[in-house]
Amino acid sequence: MSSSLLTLEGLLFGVLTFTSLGGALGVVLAPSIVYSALALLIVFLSMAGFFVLNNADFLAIVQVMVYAVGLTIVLLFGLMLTGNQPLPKKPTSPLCAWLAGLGLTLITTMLVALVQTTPVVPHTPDPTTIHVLMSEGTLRSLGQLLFTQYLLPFEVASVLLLGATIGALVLARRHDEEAHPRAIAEGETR
Amino acid sequence: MMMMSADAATTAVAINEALPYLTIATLLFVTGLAGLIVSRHVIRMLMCLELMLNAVNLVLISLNSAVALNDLSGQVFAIFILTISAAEAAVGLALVMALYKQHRTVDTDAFTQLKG
Repeated sequence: MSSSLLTLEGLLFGVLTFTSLGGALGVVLAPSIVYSALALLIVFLSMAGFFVLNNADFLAIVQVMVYAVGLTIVLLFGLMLTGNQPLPKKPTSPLCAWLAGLGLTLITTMLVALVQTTPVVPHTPDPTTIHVLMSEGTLRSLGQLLFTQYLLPFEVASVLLLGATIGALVLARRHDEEAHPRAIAEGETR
Repeated sequence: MMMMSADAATTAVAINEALPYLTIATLLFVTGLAGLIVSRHVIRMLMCLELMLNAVNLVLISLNSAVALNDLSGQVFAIFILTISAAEAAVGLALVMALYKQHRTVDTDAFTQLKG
């Protein structure tokens, strides 16, 4: 991150900051849940931009493929299947609002203090690392790490994905015979 | 205490490099947490969870870039978080579907079976 905002990197950083934080606020505050999903898409894309600024080219592409395309589409499918009716407005009790505000303020202060005070070991990358990063990117080093040092977590992650797939199928399966009586009654009157 | 002044200076530089990203990640995380607490729509809560996971990924990657570019372990960790968040989203949405089939709503205030 260069000190001047006039460089291309600084300009990109400013734009990405604006879009990511604005998108995050949109996710939380948007009146319609579909707008929320689109704001989330903007956040994911700006995250990919941040990854590029931080020497993570492969992860930026994965971010666009998995989050910005895959996850957003899955969420939109979920929205379509559950209907987009607005929730009824309900007054929140002031005690709950105060507690939530207090907790959030505490956590924010804690995280900011943590970020400001964490000692970071100084580091200057050696010329070969810089050369590899400039010429071929991070893909080769990532693959080597993933299949040597992190082989066990990699295999466990594959088992986790298999389990999650089967679990999601089982959970979302249709149980016609044991459906909720009210749902069946609604289906008959329709 | 034992730190030399030159060391302190380089440390400050290293922190400065990642600090803007860490600040943004903090803000994103807190925004996601606020949405998770405030929202009553189950799918919006899932979205806020993804926001928080993304903030953590940004911390891992920016610190990896600022502190230890020789060793890309931070990026590998980010890949694992990405995998787990994909699994979480799939299972979470399946749970939302199951809940919606039972209650015909996505309002968390309607899910009261465990209330005594």
